Amino acid sequence: MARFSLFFLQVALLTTGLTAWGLQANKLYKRGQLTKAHNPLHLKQSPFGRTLSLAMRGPVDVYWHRGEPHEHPPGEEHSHGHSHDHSHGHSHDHNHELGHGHSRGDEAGIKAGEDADLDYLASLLEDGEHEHGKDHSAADTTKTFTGLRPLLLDRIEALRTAYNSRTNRTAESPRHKAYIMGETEKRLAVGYEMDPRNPSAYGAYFLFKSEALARVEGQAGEGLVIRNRRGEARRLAHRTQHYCWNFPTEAPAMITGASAAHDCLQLLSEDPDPDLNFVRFYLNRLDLMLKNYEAIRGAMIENSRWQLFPAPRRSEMEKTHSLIKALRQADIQYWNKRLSQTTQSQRPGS
Amino acid sequence: MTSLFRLTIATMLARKMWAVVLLASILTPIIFPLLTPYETNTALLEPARAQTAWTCTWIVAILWTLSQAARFGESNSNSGMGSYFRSQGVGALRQIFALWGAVMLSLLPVVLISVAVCLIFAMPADPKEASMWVWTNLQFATLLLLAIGPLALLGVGASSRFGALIGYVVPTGLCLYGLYGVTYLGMTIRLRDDNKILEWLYALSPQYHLADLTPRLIFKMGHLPWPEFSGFLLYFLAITVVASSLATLLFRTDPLGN
Repeated sequence: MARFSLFFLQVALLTTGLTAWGLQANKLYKRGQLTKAHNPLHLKQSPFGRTLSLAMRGPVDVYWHRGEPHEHPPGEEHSHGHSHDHSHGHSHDHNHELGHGHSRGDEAGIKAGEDADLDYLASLLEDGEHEHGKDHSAADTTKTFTGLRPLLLDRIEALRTAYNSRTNRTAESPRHKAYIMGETEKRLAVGYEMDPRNPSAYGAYFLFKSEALARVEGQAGEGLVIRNRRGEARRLAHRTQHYCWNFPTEAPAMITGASAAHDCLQLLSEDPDPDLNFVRFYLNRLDLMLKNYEAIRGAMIENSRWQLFPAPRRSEMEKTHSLIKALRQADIQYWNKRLSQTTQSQRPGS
Repeated sequence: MTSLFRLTIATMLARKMWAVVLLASILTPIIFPLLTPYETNTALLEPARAQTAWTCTWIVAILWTLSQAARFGESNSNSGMGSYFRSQGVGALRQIFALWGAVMLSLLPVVLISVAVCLIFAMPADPKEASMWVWTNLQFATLLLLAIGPLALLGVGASSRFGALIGYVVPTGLCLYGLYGVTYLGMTIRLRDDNKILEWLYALSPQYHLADLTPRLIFKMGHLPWPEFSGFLLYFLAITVVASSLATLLFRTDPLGN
């Protein structure tokens, strides 16, 4: 008898427990308290995430270069940031470089009256190349020491190069390329989510979105895909500058935020009827974040904490800074003209 | 040696896990590529098949081969079988290689199925690419066996002394570290080249990711150039010498406490 009632008690408890569990879960679900962004081990945006975001560039590299050998001397900046810098400010050149055929309706709009700026930017980028060369020689001189460790590292480097070498010289199909670009974009997305403040992680991901690199070239409906991706790119840039705004004491966050604000302006300029409040907002943000970056950098150099950033990260921030500073001038000129035009055209009507 | 080898094979056959493993290695390259958006692009299926087949082989090697190695190593010393065979005149060296041979022989069909899947269901149409494809697969098979073999031997050796848990976790950890961890370590070093300890650690780590030629198959990069491939072979042979001497040093035939 006692055993029987104990059994019923267990079954009753089980039933009540299940019911309570179900009801409570339902309640939480309705309140939306169960939804949680996928973030394994809370790595995304955490201090570890920053390191991982940098480290993610390794696996991304393999996809980006499609297995072609791509050697950087140790400690030198990755070509991503660099290629991004090219494209990001310089969308015209970039289109030629990659050979993409898609036309951008407002290119003429940007070109008007800004050729001098673009020329200036081009010269700036060339300066960047020289800097690159200097970095290279600096890295070489530090590499002259010998010993077992460098020997082993060189050997492993040689093995890695062989691993990534390409024997097959047959051309890739556009679909195959799209697949590889899609894989790259996924990895870039993870790298970005790990640390949205990282200028290169954001820059590379934004480039992929804004240029819709992960698409099958020449496929039907290509225009729609490009338009959708550009919409995503705009949301990404907006989110990034918003996120970076929360870290006013960090130099990388400020420079990334400034570059995201510039990207927002760039994308707005392609809009035939942009929201001018947004334009003013982004111009303001761009200005504030650039100034803040310069202030932080100045203070850090003064108390010699600036050297604590690894050299490649410093040069990455500096390059982005000089580029964005020049681009801001172009932005201000372009938007001043456009803002005054619209106010003039609005005045007679109102 | 042959009787312990045959006994191990018979035990594995009786455990019937081989059926699951073989079925998985045949079915996964059929099923998983269907998860790709192949409807719009049938050309996605071939690289996806190659990728699935070889990924499955790695997973089988890590989950099954290494765990079997650890299990047989422990049971051989704990159950007294090792002592028995030694009394029959089978020395420790012959015992460890008998156990290892049986475990590795069971991995061989899985590797062969992967090669077969790639050669039959994912062969490039272009004859020049096709010959490269064949060589890539054969190089991959060789490197995979050269990476897993010493680890399995280490598993047998370590588990006979420290038990199956250690005998499984250590080789598996080494393998996963060599496949994935080392590349992240390498990136860290390239980003800040001032940490000598990390550089030593990197230089002395087993670079098992070199044995994983899956990207060469996905991207149709062609086979490894032969001089470089022989470099890879020498590298993994050196690791084999280290791992197998360590394994034979650790291996014991008698139960612990004797």
